[in-house]
Amino acid sequence: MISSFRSSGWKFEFDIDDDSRSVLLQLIDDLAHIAGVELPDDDVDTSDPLWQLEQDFAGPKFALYQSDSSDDDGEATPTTLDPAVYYLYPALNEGIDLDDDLRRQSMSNLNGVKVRAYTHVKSRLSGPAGTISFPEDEVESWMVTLNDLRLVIAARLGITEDHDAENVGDLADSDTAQHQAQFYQHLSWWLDSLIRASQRRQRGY
Amino acid sequence: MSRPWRTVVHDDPVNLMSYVEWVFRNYFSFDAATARAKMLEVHNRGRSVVAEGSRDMMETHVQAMHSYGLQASLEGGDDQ
Repeated sequence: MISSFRSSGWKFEFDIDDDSRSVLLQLIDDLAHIAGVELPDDDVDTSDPLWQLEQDFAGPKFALYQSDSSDDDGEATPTTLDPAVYYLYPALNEGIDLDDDLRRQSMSNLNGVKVRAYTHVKSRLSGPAGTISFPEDEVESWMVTLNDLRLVIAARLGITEDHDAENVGDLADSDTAQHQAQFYQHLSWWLDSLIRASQRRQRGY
Repeated sequence: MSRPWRTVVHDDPVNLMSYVEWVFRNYFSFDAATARAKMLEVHNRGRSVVAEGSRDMMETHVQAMHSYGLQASLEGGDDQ
């Protein structure tokens, strides 16, 4: 069970049970793996400019997608990028007109942004279940992380058109996909609740 | 005379309309009415020019939009 977000004084908060917290933590680790970023140890200061520069310089090391093909030994051969990567890194979308330099810059600079966002959220979720709070300056990290989770599930479900997004349940052709579709809709509701809480905060109530 | 460089955000089927609006308010500091109008332009027309200016600045904006997961591109200069 996860409650909607609410703003309270200087912070934002929500309620979460242990099962939901564990699922989210696992998904964030999966997200980091797909995006090819490595979440730092707990004692790393993500506000350190030198550390941020290192992350940007490192660039993502994308996960390869486990294709259906196999080699002579019957082992599956991962040969292509995970399709979710294209959702997480819009600069990879060849349908978007970008010159090569800007495409490379965008790819590189995104690495640090994603590591910082995922790290903030993971850190907050790593405490005990119950009411979890975070300061206003972490709202953006939560927005980016929850949206990235949606992007990955959208890739898994094959959402490519508005019609797909409006009929997510119809795309789910297995139990696993059904769970993903339900979680996608739940994440959409949760992200929207954070946006609404942020708007209420901006309006002063 | 060439037109200024532009940051263009494109429609996609995944990002929530409320999220796109939040990004426009949060990053560009648009007021609520402008952010909503730009978001609706993206949704209804498939694209919206959200900023105009120097190439360097527009490149920064495009990269920022990508960091939020939005589809964005750079247009302008002498290519129009």
